Amino acid sequence: MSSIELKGRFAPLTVIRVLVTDLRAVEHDLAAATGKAPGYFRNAPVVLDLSPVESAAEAVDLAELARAVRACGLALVGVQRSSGLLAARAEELGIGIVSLEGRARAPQLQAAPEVLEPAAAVATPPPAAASPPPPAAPPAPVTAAEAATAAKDAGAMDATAKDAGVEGHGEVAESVIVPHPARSGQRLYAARGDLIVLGAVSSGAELIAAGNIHVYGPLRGRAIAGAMGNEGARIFCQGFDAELISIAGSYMLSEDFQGEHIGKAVQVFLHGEKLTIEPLSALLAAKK
Amino acid sequence: MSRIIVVTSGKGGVGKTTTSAAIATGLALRGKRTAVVDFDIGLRNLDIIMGCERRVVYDFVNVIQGEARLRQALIKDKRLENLSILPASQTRDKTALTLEGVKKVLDELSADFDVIVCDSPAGIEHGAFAAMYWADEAIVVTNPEVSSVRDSDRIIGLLASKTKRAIDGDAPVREHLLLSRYDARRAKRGEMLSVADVLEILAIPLLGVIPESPAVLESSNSGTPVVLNGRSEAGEAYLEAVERLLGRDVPHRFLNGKPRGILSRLFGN
Repeated sequence: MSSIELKGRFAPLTVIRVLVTDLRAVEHDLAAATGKAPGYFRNAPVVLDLSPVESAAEAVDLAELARAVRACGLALVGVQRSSGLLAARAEELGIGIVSLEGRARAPQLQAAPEVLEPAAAVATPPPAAASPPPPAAPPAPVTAAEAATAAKDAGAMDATAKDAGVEGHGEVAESVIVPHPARSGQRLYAARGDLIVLGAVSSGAELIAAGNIHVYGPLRGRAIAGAMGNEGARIFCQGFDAELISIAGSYMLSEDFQGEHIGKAVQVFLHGEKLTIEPLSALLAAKK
Repeated sequence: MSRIIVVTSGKGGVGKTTTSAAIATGLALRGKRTAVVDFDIGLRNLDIIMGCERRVVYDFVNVIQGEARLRQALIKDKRLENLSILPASQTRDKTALTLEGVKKVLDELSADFDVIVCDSPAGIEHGAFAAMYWADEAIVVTNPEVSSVRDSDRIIGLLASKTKRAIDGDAPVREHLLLSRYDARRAKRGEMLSVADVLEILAIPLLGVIPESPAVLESSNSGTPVVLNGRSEAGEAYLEAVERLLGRDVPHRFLNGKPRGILSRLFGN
């Protein structure tokens, strides 16, 4: 029996796009960006995208750049696939070459802006979502343990406690409550926790959450849960008619859905690698 | 303070200008001092539908840029003395509408008018944004088809986030749905969305349903707002919508096709 198992897995990575060759400027901006959410970035896996400075590859000191990234507490995983000199330098330094183009990641790339400060960009909700959750009774965020239990109940056996929680980097999950319908063209983010919409989600609207997505109304738009890679995240809605659903990078388009679920109250979760849609009524039936 | 009502839709060609002209004229008929403002800079149309295109000397942009006084640019309607039109410029582009400039004109209009109807251009760019920014209320004009409904949904989202009221956190812009070009028979056959379908998606209060009517085209070509054009169904439906805007509870008569009796069906159109 082999002592190890090799598994191909998509994992969430922060991409740092380096726009200039000036090392000091990059160092400064890195420190500023990571300083905004130190807990979130602590030991976070990152990939350097050097394509904007590819033409000036001579001027890039990759060893110093790697040192600067690590000095900010980040874990440098690799360099975005590039050609020529930089790839050779990366190999010399023992830094991995990573290819970030992948079918299953497409919705996620769209969700997380590919800039130096992904967390800061995502954490600032658009004006429509800016209304803070009412202080009176924010729903208790699902703890890692609870989520894991729930996942096990549903048969998603490989969801571990670590995967299920959204506090992976030691931050408390923050739920976002949207007290109005999500209209076409609106993008609502919950960068750290659950996204709860009290109303309909129109076609052309996009919901993105690190945690679960709850829609108290028909879901006709796109719902991207577990956007930071949380495979235990789920999508719940009262009337299912989504354009796209995605959990931790796995996604399905409306043409993949079976007609039987349309208009029903359902939950969506990852069963192994497969997105599963299940009517909420099945839960009640199972408990009888 | 006067009521500022924007007539908007996102999609073009659904009947915003027809609606602006009909609602403004209807309000004037009901005794309200009304101004109707064309925000479609570069594609001036409202003046044609109001029948005053030959009387345009100065326009909205001239007033904003201080080249003319508001009094010089406003055109008094010849049929109704408490109705005035502020035409758009045909030669400039929409960037000429600054939010501050628009505010100055609206403030000045407020002194003399009970209601200001803002006829928005199509799209969600600068012109549409300038038309909705200062609004208290919005009439969202929608046709019973999927693309129009989606664009209206988008506009409703913008009304709830990009208007002055939304940004300041004041009471939200009051939204009214106006479903135009409706054909109850075709909706029944499933060829177009029904009133219920549209209401389910957009979920805002219904101001009126305007039946598809040849009178609308005739009116715009002759420069007579449809509410003044004899007793057309579309005209009556607009007048009912005006009553509802004025707070009266009028039953919807055009949800299920022709509301008239058997005799008019035999002898009239």
